[in-house]
Amino acid sequence: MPHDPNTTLDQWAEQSDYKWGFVTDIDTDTLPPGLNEEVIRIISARKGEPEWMLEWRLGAFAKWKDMVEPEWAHWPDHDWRPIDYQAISYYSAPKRDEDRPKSLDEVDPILLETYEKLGIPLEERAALAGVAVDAVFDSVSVATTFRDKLAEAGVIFCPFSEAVQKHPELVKKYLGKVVSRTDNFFAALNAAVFTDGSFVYIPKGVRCPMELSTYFRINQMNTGQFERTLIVADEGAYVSYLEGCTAPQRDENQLHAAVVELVAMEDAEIKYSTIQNWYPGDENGVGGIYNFVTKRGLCSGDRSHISWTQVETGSAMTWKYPSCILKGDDSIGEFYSVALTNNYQQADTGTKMIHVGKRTHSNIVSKGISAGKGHNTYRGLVKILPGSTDSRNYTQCDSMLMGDECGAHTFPVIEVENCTAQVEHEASTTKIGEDQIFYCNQRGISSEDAVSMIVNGFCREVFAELPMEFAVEAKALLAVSLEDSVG
Amino acid sequence: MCIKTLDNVCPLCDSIDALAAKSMGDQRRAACERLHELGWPSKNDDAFKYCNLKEAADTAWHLGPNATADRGELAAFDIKGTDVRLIFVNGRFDAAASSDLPEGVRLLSPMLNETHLDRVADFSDDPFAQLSTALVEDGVLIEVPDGQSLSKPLHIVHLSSPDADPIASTLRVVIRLGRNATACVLESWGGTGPALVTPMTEVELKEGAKCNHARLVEHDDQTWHMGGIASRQAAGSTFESVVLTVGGRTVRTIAHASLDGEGAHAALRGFGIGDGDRHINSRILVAHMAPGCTSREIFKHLLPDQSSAAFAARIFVNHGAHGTDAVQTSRNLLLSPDAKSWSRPELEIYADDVKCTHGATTGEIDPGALFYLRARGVPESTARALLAWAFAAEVINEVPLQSLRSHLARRILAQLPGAEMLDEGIVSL
Repeated sequence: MPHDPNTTLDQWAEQSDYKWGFVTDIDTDTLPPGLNEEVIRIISARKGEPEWMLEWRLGAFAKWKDMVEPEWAHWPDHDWRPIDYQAISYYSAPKRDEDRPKSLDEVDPILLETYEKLGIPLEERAALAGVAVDAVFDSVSVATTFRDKLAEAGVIFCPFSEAVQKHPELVKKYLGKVVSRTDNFFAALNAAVFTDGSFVYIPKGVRCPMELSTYFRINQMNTGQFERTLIVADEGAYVSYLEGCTAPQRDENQLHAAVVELVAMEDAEIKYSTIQNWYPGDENGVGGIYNFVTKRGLCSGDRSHISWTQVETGSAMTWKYPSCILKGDDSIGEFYSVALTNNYQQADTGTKMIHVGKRTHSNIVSKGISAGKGHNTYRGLVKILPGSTDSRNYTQCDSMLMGDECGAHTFPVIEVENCTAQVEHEASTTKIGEDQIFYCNQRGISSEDAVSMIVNGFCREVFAELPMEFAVEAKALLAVSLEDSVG
Repeated sequence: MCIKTLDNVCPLCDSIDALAAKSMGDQRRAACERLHELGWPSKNDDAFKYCNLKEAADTAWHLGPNATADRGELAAFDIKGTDVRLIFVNGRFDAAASSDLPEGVRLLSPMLNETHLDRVADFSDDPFAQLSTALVEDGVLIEVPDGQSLSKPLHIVHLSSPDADPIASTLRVVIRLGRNATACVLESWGGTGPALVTPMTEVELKEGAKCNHARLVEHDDQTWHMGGIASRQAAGSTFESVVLTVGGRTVRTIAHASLDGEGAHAALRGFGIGDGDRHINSRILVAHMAPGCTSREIFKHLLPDQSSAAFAARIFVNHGAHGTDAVQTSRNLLLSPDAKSWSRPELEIYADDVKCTHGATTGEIDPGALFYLRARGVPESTARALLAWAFAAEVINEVPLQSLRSHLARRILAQLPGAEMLDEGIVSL
């Protein structure tokens, strides 16, 4: 094993092949590509949605047609391939609803195998891990576990389409309240065509007995995934929600435009963790997912608390700004992020913290790692409104660069309109320390392990915020990215 | 000539035509065309998002009349230690009020055609930089040959003096220093009555040259000051510049510092104190184009009343600019519930062996420090003023010339609420 630190840096950029890029071959019920009112009516009909839901979708679509695709992003060195919205198929289900399996035994074995490869803890492993899984395969949920245990606690955790049927009053009340259907170009598109997602409602005073998790996968050629997640934590409730995803290897760019809405009432707490590992494209920048996601949480009640944690290692392009509107007095918003870009990947991510209520606090920790020809951008907004007295924000953005062809950028916006606010922003950019690698080498640690150690140390503050299973997976993910990078 | 009518600027177009007939014909016409293409900035324009220019947009601007400086008024701009003082009124030289031109310093007016303005930075997207080029009538060219230095600090004073109509005026300062040459240049901007001034300073430094530059903005509260500073530096050169805002309605500065040669150093600083609804706006780009360059930016604002400050700065590190060491700091102290601040400290980095940090803070006076002073018998208002001064001192202490620091202290203390018990002696603290 060579232990030349320079070799490490040079070769770090050569990420090993995408390990989880397998494709499952099963029959699917897919609409032909194209987007028009008819497609939306079909989606709505397939889902057996009530009239108001269809109207909601059509309203979003009407607005979307007049909206302009955003082009403000900072994409150095990237060959932007325009998205042809008419070339995307907007609906794909593994099987029609009436054929959906009643239990795990009825689930297609190939599908179960896919979950196996993904490491989804269904069956007993799930029980041991204490995780309830609502697995989304393309767009329709096919298996749900631990429903009973959750039902006992009064927690509603189900596919979005089911929530529309069974809990229309809740969906109607909260859908689009945080991210309106015309919020932005991609949110409007999502509102018009979303096929499924998860719905979570935690009743008053209930601490959700287990961590909730959903795996999203894109598994159909040219099938954009438009997930919609809505989590409502009523007064005094607590929930930790995990979202993770890997995607098969594809050569064409696929669009992922999800919307996540969180609502936390008085004294409620929502912890939302994500590991994003969509296919990033090959080492020449061919293929990969365009991941344009709108995530926003509303701290609606006093003393509510929303925490976003994300580990972003995949996608050719990511635009993602999980945000918090701190409306309730004494509410807290947090954002912890690790974004790793390699090859031609570009990640433009950050958060918005809008302080409305009094004595609201927000904390932002963002770690960006760039290698190869990757570019990492932190873009964020901290806004203290005039009525938000004694509010506080602390922001820290650190970037690590590996190699001299990558880039690290920081574009924060800080708007303070109340003199009692304390707002601090700090950022730094550094190279991975060759002296640190050398130090490890001297003590018999291979360069590969040393880089992994240093990167893990760099990201520690964020990993500490992840639930334990996820922290393990996140570390494994970074290690996989680093694997074989030393000759 | 107008492609798109700008009601408030079009009254100037005939004047621009007349000026174009005399000098810089193509350049003026191109700038005027560009200005009309760009249009008057709106709040939707990202570069002017926080700048309220509505009132200026509703004002029809005219070229200022020929005027001379009032001796009494000029005394207010006296800065000891600057024996050489050049006075301009409404963009034109006032020879009677000025000192003789020292060696190496010439007036721009007779040589506008040969001087080639706007060759340092590209401000083609800034309407006020275009207005400045279209309207320039005079200015100062400072050319110091290799190894020499400008013997004394040069003080340039510009006054705007409107008559019946609100006026637009500008002045160009061009500093070109040879190898290892040095110069210290101060600019004071003042005047009363409704005015739109667009100062532009261009600095070109050869290897090892050193330039110290300060711009003092002391207008009354009817002036829109939309200025620019462009610098380009060869290896080992040093450029230090500070913009000090103690007057004006809206004071905006765009600065573009390009570090082209290895080991060049740039320090861009800014201090501003608000008053009424004054808005202070800085838009800075520091471009590290070569390896081993260092840059320091520090911008601080004291914001009482309804005043506001916006800071948008970017450090750009080019591919291959290894060994870059850049620091960018923005701090705002809000002294009133109605004050506002906006910061956008940005980094754009394309090289890995770099050290770039930025920090931005906004807050009110530290209650702990206030308590400390009050426990020692300092009245609350004085304690607040003292702490506000201490906040400002970090930038003020870097200002060249003790006399300028004292001058500033007087101006700042006069505007700082509760500073009655403090005097300029505080500078030496």
